[in-house]
Amino acid sequence: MKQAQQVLSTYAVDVFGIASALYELGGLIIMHDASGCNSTYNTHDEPRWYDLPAMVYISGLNEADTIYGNDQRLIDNIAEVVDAGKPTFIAIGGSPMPNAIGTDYKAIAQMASRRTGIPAFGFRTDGIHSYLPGAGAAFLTYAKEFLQAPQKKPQQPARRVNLLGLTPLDFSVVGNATTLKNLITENGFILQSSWAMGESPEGLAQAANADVNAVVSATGFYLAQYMQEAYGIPYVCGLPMGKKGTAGWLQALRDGDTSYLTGLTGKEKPARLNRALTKLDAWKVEQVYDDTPCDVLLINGEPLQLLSMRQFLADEYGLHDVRLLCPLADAPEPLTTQIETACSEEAIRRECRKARRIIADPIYARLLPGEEKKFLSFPHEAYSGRHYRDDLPLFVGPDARKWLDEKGF
Amino acid sequence: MIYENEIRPRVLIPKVSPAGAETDIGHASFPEPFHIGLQYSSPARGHWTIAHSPMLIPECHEIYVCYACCLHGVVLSADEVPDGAGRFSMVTLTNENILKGNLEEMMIDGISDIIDHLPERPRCVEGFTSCMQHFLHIDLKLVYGTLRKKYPDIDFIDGYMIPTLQHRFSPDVLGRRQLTRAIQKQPRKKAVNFVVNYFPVDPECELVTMLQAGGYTIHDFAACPTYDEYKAMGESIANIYFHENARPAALDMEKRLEQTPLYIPYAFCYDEIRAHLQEAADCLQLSMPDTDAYEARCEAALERLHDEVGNTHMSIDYTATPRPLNLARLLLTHGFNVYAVYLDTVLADDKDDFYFLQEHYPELQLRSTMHFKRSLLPRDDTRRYGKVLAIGQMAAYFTDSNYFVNIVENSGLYGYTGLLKLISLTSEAFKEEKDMRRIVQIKAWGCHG
Repeated sequence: MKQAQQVLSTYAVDVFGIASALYELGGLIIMHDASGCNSTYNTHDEPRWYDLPAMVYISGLNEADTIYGNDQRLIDNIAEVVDAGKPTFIAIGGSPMPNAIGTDYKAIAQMASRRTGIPAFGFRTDGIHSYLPGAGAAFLTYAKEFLQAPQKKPQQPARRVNLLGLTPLDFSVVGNATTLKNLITENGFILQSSWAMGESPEGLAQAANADVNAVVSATGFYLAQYMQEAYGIPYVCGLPMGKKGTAGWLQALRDGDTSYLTGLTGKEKPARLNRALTKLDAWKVEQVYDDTPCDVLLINGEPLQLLSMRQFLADEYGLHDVRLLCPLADAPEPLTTQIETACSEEAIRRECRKARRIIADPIYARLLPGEEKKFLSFPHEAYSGRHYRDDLPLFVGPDARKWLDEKGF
Repeated sequence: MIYENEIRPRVLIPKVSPAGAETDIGHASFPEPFHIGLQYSSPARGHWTIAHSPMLIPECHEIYVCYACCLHGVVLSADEVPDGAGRFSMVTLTNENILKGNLEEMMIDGISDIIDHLPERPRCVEGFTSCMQHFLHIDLKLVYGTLRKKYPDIDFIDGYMIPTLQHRFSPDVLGRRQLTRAIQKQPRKKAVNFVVNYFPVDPECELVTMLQAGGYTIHDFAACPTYDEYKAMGESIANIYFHENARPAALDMEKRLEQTPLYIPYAFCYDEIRAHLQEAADCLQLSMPDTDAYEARCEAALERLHDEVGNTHMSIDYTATPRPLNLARLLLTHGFNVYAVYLDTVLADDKDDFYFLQEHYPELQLRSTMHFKRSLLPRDDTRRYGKVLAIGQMAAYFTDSNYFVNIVENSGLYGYTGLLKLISLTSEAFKEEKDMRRIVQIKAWGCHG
């Protein structure tokens, strides 16, 4: 049965991706739901929650308002928070119930904006799709509102770099974001902005002055395509992993080489968020690779981690028989042309059986009881939340193989 | 290794006044002291959720049939419980099911698939449905009827995760009621149940002693070691419960199993403790303990505690005990400097205490835990007042105190003995710092602690 999951988990959903992407930017972020969503997000997916206050709230949706379609209480409550907390923008998305009754988030955002006088974003969310389109939409929408016109055109070789797609969901808080920033600044580049960990709204507003966009997760891809179209800023997708990988990534940034790792030309049609939001209805249950054994299977919901790690295994370990499996069917299509997608537990288990070694979040090791040793733990915060954070490695930079070596890979 | 600059980047935090999120009790309304609009959720997570409580039924397997949004929280919560992952599965609902209208079919097929592939046959399965299925009127009679026919050796419980549709019961109240649904009527024995508490009742408390002296076998829901022990609750003549939220469970068991409900709530003030013990004694023909002696011991213990803590600022929260105002009343009337109680509503049991405190201690602060301002108000009481002695995880977090009593929902403490133990725990908390940051973020303290 395709939707039955005996042992696996679920990925963070769209509305959590929105909150994670916009967390540090001084906005009011609302999850339109009765309860539960906020505690799920902040307990499991948001490592900044304990230390860094943010205006991320649940709306407290109730049955009567659901049935009668009463949005006024929500608008009133938003206005109350805006009045006291002075956020710089409002972002609202929601859970399955409001989606099912056809809640028009864009209309609610318009009403809220008119009432409060600050920008408001309504996101088409349903609590079913993953954080990838959620965070992607958040970055894109925020940029369209707040990006200032560039004062100069992109130059080559590139010097000013934006990091696009930084959230704890993909990088946790164990130094990966810091390492990426250091790599930029220690190799002759200027860090123009980073979206959006450790960056000010003022810094983000200047992002269009960059010479190149480094897309470090799929959540930054939509924005990269937009900035290329709007400002002619080329983008480079991928992560620096290992010595050779880091050198290659830095060179690709200098050259503004969009084909790096992905083979993209930069002339592809912009990936459509709405298309991503229709995709999870089709469960991917088919066998994706043939029945021959493979050396390594990588399972990860974030496509650029898959592509980068495959390159890394080839560069550092001479491994070429590596298969890539993404359990999220709503990842941006241009990034998944070299990746197979399987969503059902049985389909993923089938692929695991064929692999000699598997690098994946530790939850996937439960698919093959008794064969846990062939799984190498690579926790993904968007999947297992905080549970395995202590085991989450520093997986970017020239020394990335350290964690794999320590695990005896 | 956690990077401090990544969890604590430099971000401007809005400054807000506490108005609306805090009030002195003299100006507060019963039972809703606050207007709650958009809701904040604290990182202090020691209280139980519906993902944790079914784990108290031995050999029960949880199967959630919900959307990814709802599943993400419960699957990861269950995962954090030792051995929890092996007792939890899910069936993911998608828009495809809503459009096709095959809610019943996918639930039956999904649960069957999981049962058929489990390494061991569960004795009990609690299935959970979400708001959406109920909004679309899923036919649960058909679902569970089919499953019961297909798996006659398994007890099925219909569980609910329907926070949007809580017009009658909150998720916790409904969850507690359903936890008893696999208990069936059995030949009567001289036995009583404790329902539906999340922590075993302290076996040293005088209530347990009274019952044992009266010849009763006790089935404590939270301490059933086997599924057979859980089922044996069907043989009892009465259900004793301590928390308002367990009332529908006890009333349901009265209707289904003809067991007498006996509500003797947690309390801290002597007159209430005595009255509840007397009620139990009258109902079950038990001998009362020497309450005067107990009260004298409590008085002496409170005096010693007061000598230790002096005028130290104290705060209490509603997750530590369902009777935070009763506890505040006891402490204030014994000279302790209780200055703040964290709660969002005042439960009916605390009504008299609310009005007593309003009259006699009008400056006592009530502080909301979920008002939107709570996330923005500074957690700086320990800097303003010096050492703050907190009772409860939320009180500790919001006052930023490492000196706290780590109990959740009374943690099984009951009666005079419970009070004596709480006094002892408070004394320990005053003297020894705890790792508050680590402790309060663990969900469902007791599953781990």
